[in-house]
Amino acid sequence: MNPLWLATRATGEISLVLFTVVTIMGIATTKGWASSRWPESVVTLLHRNISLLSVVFLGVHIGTTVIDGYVPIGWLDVVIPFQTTYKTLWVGLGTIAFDLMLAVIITSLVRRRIPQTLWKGVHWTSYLMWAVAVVHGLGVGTDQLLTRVLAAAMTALVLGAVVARFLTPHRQDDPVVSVTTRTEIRR
Amino acid sequence: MSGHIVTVDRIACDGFGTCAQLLPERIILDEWGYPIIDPTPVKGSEHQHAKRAVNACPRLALKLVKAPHDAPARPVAQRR
Repeated sequence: MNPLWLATRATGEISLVLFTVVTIMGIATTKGWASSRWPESVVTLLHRNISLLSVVFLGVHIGTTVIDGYVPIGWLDVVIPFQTTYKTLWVGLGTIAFDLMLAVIITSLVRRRIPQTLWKGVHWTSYLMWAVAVVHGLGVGTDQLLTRVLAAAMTALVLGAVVARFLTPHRQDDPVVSVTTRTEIRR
Repeated sequence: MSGHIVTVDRIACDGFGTCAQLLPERIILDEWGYPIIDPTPVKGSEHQHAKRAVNACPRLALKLVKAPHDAPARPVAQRR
């Protein structure tokens, strides 16, 4: 077995798990889900740092795929989708997910210098990125059983978090309640 | 580095409270979770921590800025 090929598969699965964790932590950050064990600052910084860690694994995943050379996937295919002869659609979806990730990372790095709405808009595509990446993994089809089990578990986690996100009232929504509370407290 | 103070953009702040967790020596939260910040200039050893708190603010509301000349040298409460 070619070690590069094994590395591609392993880092693909690891990336799936890490991106899921990052996505859920991102949702937790926006909603301020925190406790004394998981304070706000811990969730925020873990979201940031684990996303950088997952980029490393994704870098290895992509790097070993191209270097391996068993299937013809070149460096341009890393950023330009649907140009490969090998599993054009499924590999191309991986490329799209990578492009979206680049956009999310770059806008986050220059967040202080760009309009916040732009940063937020691009950051929303993380959901799409995550979903496209999962489909890429399922479609490419190596390690069917592991990928399917992981994808099912990770999808359940993210869907659960998304549902909880939309069930949690927006931070901006409570001022009406808080104003009354504030007045009562002042009295 | 001295001559810098920590400030908050009160419109951008949503009261996440991250700053008070990362910089408790300068920031406490009021009863609604919004920061009350020590207005005195940041001392040398605190600078790194202040910067970390500024970078961690989820709303980019916390800032480390050059102290204006009329910044109090000591906490307001102690001046009285």
